[in-house]
Amino acid sequence: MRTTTYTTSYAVAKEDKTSHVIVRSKDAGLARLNTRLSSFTPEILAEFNNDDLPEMSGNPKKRFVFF
Amino acid sequence: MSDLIQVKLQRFSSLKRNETEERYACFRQLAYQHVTDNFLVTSRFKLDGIGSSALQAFAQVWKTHGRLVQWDWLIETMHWKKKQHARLELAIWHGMHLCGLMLGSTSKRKKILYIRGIEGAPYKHPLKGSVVPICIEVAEAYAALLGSEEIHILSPHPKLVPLYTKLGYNFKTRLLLYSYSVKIVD
Repeated sequence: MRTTTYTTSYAVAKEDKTSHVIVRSKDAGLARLNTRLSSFTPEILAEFNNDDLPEMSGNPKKRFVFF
Repeated sequence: MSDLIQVKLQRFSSLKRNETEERYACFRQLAYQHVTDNFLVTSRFKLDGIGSSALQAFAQVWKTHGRLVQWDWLIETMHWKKKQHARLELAIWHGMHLCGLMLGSTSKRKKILYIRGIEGAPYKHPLKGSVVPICIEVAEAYAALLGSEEIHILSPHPKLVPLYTKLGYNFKTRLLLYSYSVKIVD
């Protein structure tokens, strides 16, 4: 019975700690997201919009490289 | 250890796994929303994770056309969904058309975001020419959310390398085994 209580409280404590970390890292991430500027200008977008350019990236013959 | 505790620990472990999965799914949704709201492409498009509808469109429509690559998105997606919570996955939709797919992953400490594969629909579609920019934009937004310091585009197509360079990526090769374009995030 005692062990069961300990396990539950441990789980709750861990859960609270995780939630705190989630909120904190999400806030920092949102701040970075809101201040970032797009790398794309209309000129670069126009260069990408070219029928000769392939719409792909990665090694076409293999599965994605694992490392 | 008693069976009861064993069961509780298993439940706790799966709870933790679900929470982590939800956390990164939330980050991905934020990145999709950010790009949908702010990106310069005027055409209407919707960004989402690679779900069953995307995989169905891939199997029923894309596979019947001549593709540039040989990956099976079903196998790759299943692999990375199991392997990493923080993976980057993207399906680009225009109405009912699946226009593009992307998969990426992160290093263990999330300091590097790897773009492993991008593929545009192998036929004429409404977002032709915009798939790669949308993918890069989503990857950069996701990297900002995670706090990643570098973005690596693995095995970039040689024709696209000059454009990546204009976006701030440097082309590198490692031991002639593979090449990548890397960008240091501010």
